[in-house]
Amino acid sequence: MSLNSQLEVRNLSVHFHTIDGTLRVIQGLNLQVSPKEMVGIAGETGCGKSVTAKLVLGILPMPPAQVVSGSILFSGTDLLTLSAKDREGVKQQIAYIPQDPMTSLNPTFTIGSLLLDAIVWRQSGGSLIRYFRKRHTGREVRNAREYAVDLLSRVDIPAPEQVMRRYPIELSGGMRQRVLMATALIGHPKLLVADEPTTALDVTIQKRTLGLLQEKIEEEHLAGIYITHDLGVARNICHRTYVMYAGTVVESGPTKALLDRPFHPYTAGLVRSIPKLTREPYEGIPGQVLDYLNPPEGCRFHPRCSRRMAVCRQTSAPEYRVEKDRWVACHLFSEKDG
Amino acid sequence: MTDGSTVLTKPAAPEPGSDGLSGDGMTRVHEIRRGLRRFMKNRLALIGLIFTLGMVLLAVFAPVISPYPEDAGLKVHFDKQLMPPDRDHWFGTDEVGRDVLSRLLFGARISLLLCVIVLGIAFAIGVPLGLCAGYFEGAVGQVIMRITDVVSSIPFLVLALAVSAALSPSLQNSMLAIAFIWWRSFCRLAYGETLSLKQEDFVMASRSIGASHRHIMFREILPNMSSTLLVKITLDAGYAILVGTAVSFLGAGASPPTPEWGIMVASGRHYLPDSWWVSLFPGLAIFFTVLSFNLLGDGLRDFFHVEVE
Amino acid sequence: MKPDILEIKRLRKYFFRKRRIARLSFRSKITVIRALSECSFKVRKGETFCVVGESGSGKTTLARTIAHLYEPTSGAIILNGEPVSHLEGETLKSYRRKVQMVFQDPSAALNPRQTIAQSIALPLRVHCRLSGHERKQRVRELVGLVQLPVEYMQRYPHALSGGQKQRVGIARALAPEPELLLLDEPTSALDVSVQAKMLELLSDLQDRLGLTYLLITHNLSIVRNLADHIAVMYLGRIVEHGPAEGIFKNPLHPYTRALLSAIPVITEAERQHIPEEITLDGEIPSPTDVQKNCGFVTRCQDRLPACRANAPPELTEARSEHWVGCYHHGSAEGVVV
Repeated sequence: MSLNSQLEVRNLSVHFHTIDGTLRVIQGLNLQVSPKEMVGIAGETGCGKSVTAKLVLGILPMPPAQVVSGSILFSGTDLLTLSAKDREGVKQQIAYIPQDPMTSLNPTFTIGSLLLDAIVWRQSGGSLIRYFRKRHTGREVRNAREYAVDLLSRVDIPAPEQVMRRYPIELSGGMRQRVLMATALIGHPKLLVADEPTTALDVTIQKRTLGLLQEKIEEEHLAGIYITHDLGVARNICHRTYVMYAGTVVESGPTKALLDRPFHPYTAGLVRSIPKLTREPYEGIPGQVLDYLNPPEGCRFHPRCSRRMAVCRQTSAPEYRVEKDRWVACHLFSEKDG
Repeated sequence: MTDGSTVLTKPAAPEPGSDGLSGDGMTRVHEIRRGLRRFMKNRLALIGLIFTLGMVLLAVFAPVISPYPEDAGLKVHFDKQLMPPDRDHWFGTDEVGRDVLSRLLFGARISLLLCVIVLGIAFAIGVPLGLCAGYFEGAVGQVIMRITDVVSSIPFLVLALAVSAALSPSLQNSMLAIAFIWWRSFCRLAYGETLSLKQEDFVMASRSIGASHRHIMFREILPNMSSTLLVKITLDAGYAILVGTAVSFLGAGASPPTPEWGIMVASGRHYLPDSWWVSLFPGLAIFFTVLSFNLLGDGLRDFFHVEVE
Repeated sequence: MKPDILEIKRLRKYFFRKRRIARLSFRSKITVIRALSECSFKVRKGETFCVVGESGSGKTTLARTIAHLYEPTSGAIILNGEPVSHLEGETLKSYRRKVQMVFQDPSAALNPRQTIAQSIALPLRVHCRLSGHERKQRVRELVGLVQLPVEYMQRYPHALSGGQKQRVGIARALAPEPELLLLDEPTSALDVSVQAKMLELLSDLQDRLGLTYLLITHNLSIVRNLADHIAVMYLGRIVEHGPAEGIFKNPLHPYTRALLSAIPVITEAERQHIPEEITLDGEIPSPTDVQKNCGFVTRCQDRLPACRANAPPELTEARSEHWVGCYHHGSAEGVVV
């Protein structure tokens, strides 16, 4: 755990209360992100990666959700202990790039309008009155507009003044995603949370968008979290990756090493499931994602694991440090812990 | 509704060859119980359901439970006129000495019957028309929808008054007339639903399989609008009862001695405010009945809407 | 040499939309969306023919037009030597028996109000003369064929997982014993660990039943493992098509090369198999614009003056069976340079 962290999640456990019972969604999660670093959270549907992101962003509805233990340290402050007002203040420093550019922009406003609203709101420090006053002051609006045009050009949008006048429906998916990136950069955030922003994009557009994102992380000294189910994308843009399964981190480390030499049986299974350009054989992982109402005793992956041992049925594994910066939550590595 | 279940996926049924993990998936009984639990969470809907069921039961068993069943007919008691509510007559008596409570119970029968007939006819005409208009579109669709537009311009009460002026005022005549224009909103609803359901992949799949038009319309599209139609019927039921009583209140519908709520309110008007019970109780009956259907309808809408997600 | 089961000749599909000229005007003009322009290729019996492209390439429209969900605007579709471009009634019905489609989103492709058994039985009801008992038997066989437990027959789609629903979709498509199966992104909506099993099932079924697959996808890793032949589409046109090995080892069209280089590879070993970094700039033209020249010219890094000045290039056979439509590789008749 470095002192340089922008965000540190310690031993986080989250429960969801539904009609059918209590779902134990996140279990003992640990992760850490430093500035200028892009960290990936990779996993399949339902592994809890979106829940984690929403919790960090502060947009997880808390009555059904309940944080049972753990802390989320942002610049040293535990977000979970903050008052509602302070939490809102912190939100200004955390930016969010949502998943689907098609539905994330309000279609009834022009791009300029959307950006101006966001910029002026940011400058109003949470006061509605101040916001309305600024929004209708010529000088403030002019400054905000200049800032908006600058932001758009920084995300490689051609002819930004014209784009300001356009409606989202007139823009392509790639452009819309870049607009969302520009919105995320307002006010110089410290942390960026990107929730699969390129899933809906074509592969060639995705490449360009990822390149742009990487640039911005560097330029703005941002700490970034990239949520994805696509391991190839993680390899492309994430320095380090956390692989999640059923609400726990099963393995973490530098992305390339993790994918070339996976340690945890789930990671290995996942990598093996994907058809490769080398045409090597591929096979899936047997079994089904677990039932969050009644998770199995011990390691959550053990029912599907081909290398399970007796101990796996009883206790879940802590994170063992296998190499200098690689951690695995698996009993197979208990001796290698160094 | 922002409960957590929209964030997560539901626990899925196991695949073959798995180690028998999470049990046998969802059985029908389990599903029904889960659905009921969800419905019960909506307090108002529950109230609506209870009131509606209560009203139906009261109406069905009216001849058995009313204290003075003969008062619903031609019997009059000039010795008991306008008696206030007391132990023998819980809701008092009207201007010719009839027990208000008994007449209310029989009135419930009339209102419910009327509701069933009107909605039944409207549904039978409107839904197939809307379905065809939405499915075939083109000239057929245009013709049907323009006729619907014309019919939509006819106000219920004005039509009922016109019918009663042309023929003799009777509840049957006016309600039949109303039924024959009530179909318009069913038609429009079915049209809209059909247009959107037509775009669904499973409808396209049926087309690519070569299913007939009839199959697609009645087996693929229609069943998938059943929840919307059910909500509409429930909400319309309340409104239909209201229209029926209004028609009678205006004198264009039922005539005495029929124990219909509308004319009960109308005839009781003359004795306000001294003999308030003659008008008030029928009025309250109308109010509670319409309210129950509305609450039930809203509750059903919430219930189905969440499931759709 | 296996016979051709399907031949597509200069297939075009245009969609015509009436649009008002200005917001408050009554006058309208007709905009044309050129979803497919001049597509030609052949599919051999028993092979897996993959059509790749990004959104707007026209690949889904191609599949749907072949499935006769859309009527072709012009051009020919030929099945087993018989022209089938415009069909009605009984001929259409017998065509539908031979050509079936599996849809992308397994949740949307099944009627939520019908049981699995009912969904699978539908093609049998339409095409086969079977008694109720025989039909049930056949459904049971199909359910076993896609490796689902028999108990699932009475369940409704929402009780099944995505992978299971997709298997139902496959079982339904196989019910009338088709010859050609059109698969529109069959694994895109599935998780990675389920995807592998699905692909294995599809391969297995192909071997067992002698099916021909026309697979639409944007996932090139899947294509590399499954395809015998590949066609690359861009803006409604096929820009390159040929044997899978040839396309991957020697991509000729600049778009194909850019597409391959953009594949997000997982392992270092895979990186050897794709061309080096090509990041495309520029914007994609709208499908409503008439292509006066090569549609890729706005983003192509190897563009020549000829590319902008001339009509969209025709496909020429650059290598054996490997066709490409690019001014760098022939297509030079009457070209202004």
